[in-house]
Parts: sequence; C-alpha cells; structure tokens
Amino acid sequence: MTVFSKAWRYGLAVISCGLALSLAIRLDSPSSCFFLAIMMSNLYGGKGPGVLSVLLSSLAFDYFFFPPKYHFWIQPSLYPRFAAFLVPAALIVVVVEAKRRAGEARREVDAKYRQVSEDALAQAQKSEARLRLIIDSIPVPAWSSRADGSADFINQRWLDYTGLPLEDALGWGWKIVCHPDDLDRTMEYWRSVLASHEDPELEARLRRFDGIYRRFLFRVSPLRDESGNVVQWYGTCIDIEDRKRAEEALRASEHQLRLMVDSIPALVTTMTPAGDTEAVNERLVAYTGQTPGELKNWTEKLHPEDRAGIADRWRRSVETGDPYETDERVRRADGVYRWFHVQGLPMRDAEGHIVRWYLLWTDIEDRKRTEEALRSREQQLRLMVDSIPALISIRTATGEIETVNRQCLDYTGMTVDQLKNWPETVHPDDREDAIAQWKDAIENGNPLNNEVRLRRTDGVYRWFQARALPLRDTEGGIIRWHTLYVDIEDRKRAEEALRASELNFRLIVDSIPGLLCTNTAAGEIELVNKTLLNYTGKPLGELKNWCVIVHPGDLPAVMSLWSRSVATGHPFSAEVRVCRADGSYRWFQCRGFPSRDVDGRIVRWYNLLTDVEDRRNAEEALRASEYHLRLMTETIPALVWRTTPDGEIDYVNRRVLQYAGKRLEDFGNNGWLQLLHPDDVDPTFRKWQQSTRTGEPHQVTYRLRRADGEYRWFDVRGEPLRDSEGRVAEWYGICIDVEDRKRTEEVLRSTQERLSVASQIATVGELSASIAHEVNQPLTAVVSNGNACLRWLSAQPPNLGKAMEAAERIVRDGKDAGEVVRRIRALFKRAAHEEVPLDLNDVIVEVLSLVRSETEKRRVTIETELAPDLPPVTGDRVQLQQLILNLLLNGIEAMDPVTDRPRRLFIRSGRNSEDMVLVQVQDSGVGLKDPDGVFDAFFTTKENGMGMGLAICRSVVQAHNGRLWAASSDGYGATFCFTLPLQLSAVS
Amino acid sequence: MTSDNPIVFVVDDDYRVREALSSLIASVGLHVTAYGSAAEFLAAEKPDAPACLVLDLQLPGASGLDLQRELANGSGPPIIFITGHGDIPSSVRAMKAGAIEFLPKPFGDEDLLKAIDAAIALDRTARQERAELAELRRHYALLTPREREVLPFVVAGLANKQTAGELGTSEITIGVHRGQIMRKMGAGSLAELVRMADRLRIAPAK
Repeated sequence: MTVFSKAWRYGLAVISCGLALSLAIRLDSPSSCFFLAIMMSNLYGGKGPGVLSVLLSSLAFDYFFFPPKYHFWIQPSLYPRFAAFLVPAALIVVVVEAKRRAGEARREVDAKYRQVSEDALAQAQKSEARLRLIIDSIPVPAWSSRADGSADFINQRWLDYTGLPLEDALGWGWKIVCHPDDLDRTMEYWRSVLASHEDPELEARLRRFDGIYRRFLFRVSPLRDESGNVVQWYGTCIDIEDRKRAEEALRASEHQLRLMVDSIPALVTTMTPAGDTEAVNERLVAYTGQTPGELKNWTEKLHPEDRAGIADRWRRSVETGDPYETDERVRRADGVYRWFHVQGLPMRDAEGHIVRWYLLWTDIEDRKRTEEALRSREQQLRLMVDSIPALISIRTATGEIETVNRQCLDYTGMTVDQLKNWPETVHPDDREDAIAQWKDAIENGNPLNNEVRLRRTDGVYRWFQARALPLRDTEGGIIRWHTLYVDIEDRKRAEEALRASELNFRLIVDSIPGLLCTNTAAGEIELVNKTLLNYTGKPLGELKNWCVIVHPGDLPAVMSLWSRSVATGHPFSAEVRVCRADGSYRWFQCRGFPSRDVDGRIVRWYNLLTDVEDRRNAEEALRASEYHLRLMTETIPALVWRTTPDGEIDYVNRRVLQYAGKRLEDFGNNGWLQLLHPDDVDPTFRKWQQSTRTGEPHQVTYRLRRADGEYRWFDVRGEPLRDSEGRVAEWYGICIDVEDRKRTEEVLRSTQERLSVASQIATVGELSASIAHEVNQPLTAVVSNGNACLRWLSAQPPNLGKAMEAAERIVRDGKDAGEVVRRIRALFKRAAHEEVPLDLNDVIVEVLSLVRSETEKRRVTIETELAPDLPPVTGDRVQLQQLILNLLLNGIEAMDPVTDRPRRLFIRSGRNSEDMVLVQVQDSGVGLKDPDGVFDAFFTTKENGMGMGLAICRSVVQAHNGRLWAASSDGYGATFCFTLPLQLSAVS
Repeated sequence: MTSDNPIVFVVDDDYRVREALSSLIASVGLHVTAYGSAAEFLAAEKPDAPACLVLDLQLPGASGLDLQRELANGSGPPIIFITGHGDIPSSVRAMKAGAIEFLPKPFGDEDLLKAIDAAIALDRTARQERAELAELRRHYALLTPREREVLPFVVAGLANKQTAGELGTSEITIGVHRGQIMRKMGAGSLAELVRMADRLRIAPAK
C-alpha cells in the first residue's frame, strides 16, 4: 500500500510535470506551469514528489526552453533565469511542505481525540451488553421489581421459560404463569415480603411455555438506598423440580429397599465391624421367632454341631476382613434346623476401614435336598447307563469318543483311549459306510441311525443298531453326541429266520398244488396264492367277486352253502367247477375254515381248493370199469368162480349156474366135485388141494357135467389173489370149455400127421440125389469089382487071388448098399406114432450119414459135439430123424449163398437141465430176419419150398413135449435149438 | 525116374470105390495108385511117366473140380471124372476145363478103360512135346544177346546185308552171327530154324 501510494505520489509528480510541460510548450509560459505542477506534486505527494517535480521541471527547462534547446546544457547566460526558477520552486517546496505538515498534525490530533471518545462509548455499551447477556444467560429466571412489587425487568431466561413476551410479563403480568393453586400463596408471600422487607423463600409452580408446571424456589433481595428504603427488589426463581423429584425417588427407593430387604426370601443381618448383630430383616425375625434384640447372640440359633466352627470362622472373618461364606443350619421358630448358605461382605469406607458387615442367609435346605436327590439320581443313572445292555458312548461335536459305558468296554475289550479309534471295531465290510454316515451326521447334525457289525473282544462280529442323537445348546449348536449301540444280532438272526420261514411259507403256499385263498369275515376274497392266480389267469382285483370263476351251474348251491357258512361259522365244504384261464372248468373240492380271534369272532376264512377233476374222472372211470367188469364177468363165455383161501367156493358167475343147472349153494362143501367126470375127480381134487396148500396156480383139465348130463372138457385155471403180506386172500378161477378145441386138436393132429407124411415125401424128393449117391457108391464098387473079377479070371493065366478078393468086395459092398436102402426106407417109412427110448446121438449120426453126400456136394463142413453120456429120451425115431434131417437141410441150404467164409454146420447135443436134452444146429449161413416167424406154416425163403418144414418140426417137438426155437447166431448164421424131456426112468 | 510105363492115379474118398477101381485098372496091366483126397494126391511123389487121373467129383475138402483147377496150371495128367450123382453144371465145368471123360457112377469097365487109354496116349504126346520144347529152350539159352537180336531178322528171311543195315553193323558180322545161331540151335536149315523160332514163339522181324 505504501509502495503503491509512493508510486502514486511520484507518479503524480511525473504526470503533473508532463502536463505542465505540454501546457508550457503551448502557452510558452514554463515557469507558472511548472510552479503549478510543483505545488500540486508537493501538496498532494509530499516532499519527495515535490523535489522530483522540481528536478523534472529543471530538466524540462533545460531541454525545451533554454537555448540551446533540446540539449542538456544551459547557456551560462541563462543561469540567472534558471536560478530564478529554481529558487521559487525550492521555496514553494519548503512552504508547501510546511503547510502540509501543519495540516497533518492537526488532523492527527483530531483523530486521536475522536478515537478516545469512541472507545469510551464502545466500552460502556459493551459492558451493558455483557451485563445483560449475563443476566439473560444465567440459567435462572431473574427479575427485578419496583418497590411496590411490580416487575420492571425480566430476564430472557424467564421469558424463554414462560414463553411470555416481555411486555406482557412486566408489571403484574407474570401472575398468569403462576400455578393457580400457588397464586394465592405467592401473592400472600409477596405481600409479606413487601411488608416485612425480609427475604424468605417460596416454592411455587410456574407454567412453562408448553404448559407444564415446574416447581421453582423464589428468592428476593431488596436494593436499598442510602436511607435504607427499599428501592428495588431483585428476585430469582430456581428450578427445583428435578431435585424434588430425585428426593421423592430416593424416598421411594429407600422404602422399596426396606420392603425388599424385609421381603426377600432370605435372612439379612447387618453387623458391626466388631461382629455384633446390628439389624436384622423381618424375615429373620419371623424365621427365628425372636426379636432383633434377642438375636444378638445369633450363634445360639445355629445347630449345636455347627456352632463352634461357625463362630470361629466368623471371628476370623471379622478379624481379617475376608468375605464370610458358610453353610450352616439355623433353628427355625418351631425348632427345626434348616440349612442356610450364609454370605457376609464387609462394607468399607473411603479409607478402607470396615464400616459394616452385611450377612445374607439363604435357605438352601431344599437345594441341599435336591442336590442330594440329584446326586443319588446321577448315581442311579450312572448305574443304569453302566448296566443297561447296550453300548453307550458320548462323543464330542466332532465325533470323538469322550466317555463310554462299561458295557462298551466289556464288549470291545478296549480302553476308552483305544476306542478313540473306533472304526477298528467295525466290521471291515461296514467300516466305510459307518464312517461316511458318521461324517454325514456330524456335518449335517442329522441323527444317526444305522446297523453295523462290531467286533467283540473274542473277535466275533455282532450286529448292532447304532443311534446317535446330537445334544444341542440353546443356539442349536451341537455340544456332543449321544450314541447308543444295541445288540441286534439275535434279532437279525431271528429276522432272517423269520424271513426264511416266511419265504418258506410263501413257497409252500405258492407251491402246494392247490388253490388257496383267504376271505374276510364277510366272505370277500382277500388274498390268494400264486397257483390260484395262475389257474384262473385273473388278477386279484377281478377275483374279489369270486362268483365269476365258479361254474354258473354250481353257483346257486355254492352261494347258499357259503352264505350259510359265513353266517354260522361252520366250516365250508363243497365241490365246484372253477373256470381255468383257458376257459375250461375243472372240478375242485373247496374247504374253508374260519379263523377266530380270542373272542371267538371270525376274523378270516381260509379256503383250500383241491383239484379233484382227475379223481372225479377216475371215480367215474372206476365205476364204469367196475360195471363193465361185472358185465364182462357175467357175460364172458367161460365159467368164472372165486373161492376162499381154503378152497370154499363163494362166487360163481351166471354161466356156471346155467351150465350146471345148479344154485350157488350146491357148490359149497366141495359140492362142485360131484359135477366132475368120475375119472377126473381124484386127480383134480389132489391138484386143487396142493394148490390151496402151497398157493401155486391151479391148472387142470377135467370133464364137467352139463345140465343135460353131457360131459364136456374144461381147461381150468385158478390164480390166488394175495394181500400185501403175500397171504392168499382169494382164489379166482376160470373154466374154459375146451371140448370143441379138444376135438379140433384131434382133427389137427391127424391132419398134421398126414401133412408130416407129405412132407416126408417132399423130403425124399429133395434128398433123391443124396440117396442116389449113397446107393451109387457101393453099387459102383460092386460093378467095378465085378468087372475086375471077370478080368482077373479071364486073364491068361487067370489071377484067381485077385478075382477072389474082388468077389469078396462085391459081397461086402452089396451088403452096404442093402443097409443104405434099409436106412432110407426106415427114414421114410410111414409108421404109426411110436414112442420108444432113443439115444439122440444115434439118431443124429444116422441122419448125418444121409446128408453126407449133400454136404459134400455143397461144400459144407459138418462138425459135431455130441455128449457121450447122453441119457435116452422117449420119442418116435422116424419123427425125430425127420426133425433133425430137416434142421440139417435147412442149415445146409441157408449156407448156399455164402462164399466169403467157410460153410460150417455145427451140431451139438447135451443135457440142458435135470430133465431135458438140448440139441443145437448152428450154421454159418445168411441168418434169420425173424427167428420166430420161421416156424409159421407157409413161411419159406426157398423158391419152390412149401414152407411147411419148420412148422412141422415145431409140431413134432411139441408133440414130444419139447420146445423148438431159433436164434440168430453171433456174427452170422442161425442156431436152431430143441429140447426134449428125458425118459422118466433116466430122470430118476 | 523116367519111364514109359503109364500110371493111373485114382482119387476117391470111398475106399470101396478105390479098391474096386484099383483092382479093375490093375487087371488090364496098368500101374495104379489110389488116394483118399485131393490133398493126399498133391502131396504124393509121382513118377515121371505118362499118366492119367481118375477123379471123384465129390471129395471131402478140396473137390474134384478144385483139384482140376489146381493141376491145369502145370503139366498135370489128363483127368477122367467119376461121380455118384453128376449134375449137368458140374460135368460141363469139368469138360470145359479139359477133362477127358465124365463118367456117372456106376459105369461100365470098358468106358473107363477106354478113357484111360486115350488119356494116357494124350499125356504121352504132351509129354514128348514138352520135352522137345525144353530142348529148344535149352539151345536158345546158349545164344548171346546179340545173336538173339539177330535171330528174328534171320527167321524173317532177310539177307545178311539187310539185317546188317537194320542193325547198323557189317554184313560179315551178321554172317558170323547167323552161323553161330544155326550151330547153337542145332538147326540144319533155315526152314528148321524158322520152325524152331515159331515153337519158341519168336516172331520174325518185320
């Protein structure tokens, strides 16, 4: 500012000089112009600018006005002029400076004066404002009033409190805020104050701006003049509302405290620092039934057992100042001691000295008892936990085992520490699951429920059901887990057994070959077995109405039976036809039994349907069969009879009665024997007796008299019927009329004989070549010998010896030829059947000699194996020769086609059994296709055979009571065998 | 033993026939040997003389026809069959196989003896032919291989020159061969040599 101002002042000098220059040039009066500028500069700029302007003016003079113009040097001639200018200029500067200084000094004095007066005023104003501010800001409404009491000043506080404007409040306006109840009293007080000039206090209520009255303490003090007259009253109103309230609260609190102390369910005493009873509460008085005075000796109220110890302890607490705490028994007014918990605390003053002891006696009798009970219960619980037959463990929230019960230890044989690694006890198969489930339970807080196998101390695993429940705190956090393992091994086994048993039952039910169903008590079908479902092919739902599967024809009867059973509870039984899945009906025997509960009410019906279709059919068939059998027995053209085991006839069929013309009674007592031909009675009766004695089948042939007296041959056979023990129960017999057959047989036999002869003749034809050979051999010898004989005789000279020999040979060979002829004749001789003892080997050899040439011709080798000591048989020589001849020829012929193997005929004879001789003729021929058929008449394999040969052979053998059969030999060929009975004498 | 006394063999299983025939044949002065079976006959040692065989058709074991078949291979004697009940197929077969006669039993002594004479005569001729052929073979065996090569050309009537041309050798060599052949074979002339070659079944060269 000063710089600016200085620049301004010097600038003024420069500018004014400049102006003066321009004016001077124009007016050509430099001195006046520059004087003016110097004065201006000096006047307004001060001394410095004045000197500057002088300097500038001097330069301007020198340069512009003094010759040489425009040069800064002055002609010496002009020095005076220049001096003329400089001197006045300097004078001006001095004068103006002096003038300016005088003015400034005056101005300065004026300013100072004015300043002092203004400060004083401001001071006064400030003091008043401060005072007012103080008055207004003291937190107490205040006022002043004139001597007569009307208010002439009211502080802001008062106005703020009441909310009244100052104008309204002044004078007596303040009464409006006084509580109506207090107004009179206030006025009275005010009057008294005015009268007495004293300054008492008053409590009165003033209305606040919001209408609430608060209590104030009014105080007034008078301002007196020199003469002592009261000039002015000054008053304050102090808000005592809060203090009042606090006082009231304190009072109420103290009252309550007292009440509390008296009413708390505990005994309270205060003690002096010395330990004597000071005060007691009402309860203590009431409890002990003694006055506070009597309670001075409180220790006497204690239980005698506790007394000494308690007194001691109290004394110690009093001495040391330690808090006192005991359990002691105190006698009640009625003399009963109860347990009290006594707590004593010392109250200390600021210096730490004990002022007083407070003792609180709390009745803990009940708690003591509860504790006692609790303790015993916990013991019981512990006992229980240890003794219940299950494994119990308590685990931390993370699943760590904390404690376990004894069973757990006993079962696993491990300690609690070992059990920390509990998965080891779990069966390896269950272990992973168990751990996973535990983890899941711990993570989610879900109760655990599973079944695991745990290892017993002996290494055996048993099934346990594990349950774990989390114990939670009030926030729901899991504190620990309680787990219970219950041994369910036996239950498991039982379950499995039950399941197996149930399965068995189900299997039985489903596999029994009957239809099963259960019905409700009302008769509706409940359950059926699979067999029934399969049979009907209907689902259970459709079977509810079982009428649909019953044959409509049986339905009414079944319905009535069923409804009666349902009504009466009697077992149900019926035969019904039930529809099968394929729509056909089968007969079922249906039986239903009710199952009753304990009260005898029917709970359910169990029905079994048994398929009796086949039985019914069988019954029908049996009935029919029996009928037919009877019909047959009665109608067959034979005599049928039955006897008791001892031979007594008890049944004969109608034909017997018709044939004999007798009644059944006539047959009893061996009456039937009278019907027999007299010649047959004895052998028949003997045989019958033997049969009844031995049980052998009875077989006999006898003649039976017909009603008309004619005897007819009957073939009789009787068979015993034996019971399960093999004893003869009955004899059944049949007599077949063989009269006609017998006659036919006779005819047959004669026919056969004739046929046999015809066959013989045929055989002769067949054997003619062989026979010729047999005869020709000796004949050739005879002729040749004869010729030789002649030649020997006719020789020159005759050789008689040779001739003789030849002649002898002729005789011999002639005889041979005769023998051959005789044998042939014998073979083909037609003679009556004649049975004589024979040696079969002889017969065989004879026949072999006949076929020898035949076998040679056909290149057949004959081998024989004849038993040397063969007993004789009885038979017809010719027929047996014929038989053997036939068999040999058959064999020889059978080998005709054979070229790839030897033609071999093998004949063997020997004893077959005790009474039989067996002859076998075995060839190596083509064999037999039908070993039995060859014996049929007219069976032949030869081109011009009659097919009678073997048929006749068989009849010949049978006529000799023998048997003839044929069999294919091993490999190839056939074997013909026949047996003949030995001669009776040979047998014996 | 070589003799011209003919011998008759009789084979019959019936001793009576054997005796009768032996006696009959012996009565005309022929030697007779009788056998009971073919096997017996084959086993026996027989003299080297003209012979004939009186054979029964039916024999136990190998039959007469079997024996005939057996003998046909070698130089068996001619056969006269006798049979007790000769059937036609057997007789045909016997005759076809070269039997001299087939006589059904009983037969007349003339028939038999005539047949025996014829058979012996036949056998004698056959025997002689067999002997000659054997002699020829013996001669032929003396020839060298080259001579045997040359022989067909000689018997074919080729000149020595031609033969030499055929065989690629000199005429003189062939001439030497021819001389040797004639000498070794004992042939008096070319015609005789040709006959010999014919009997030896050596075909002339073409």
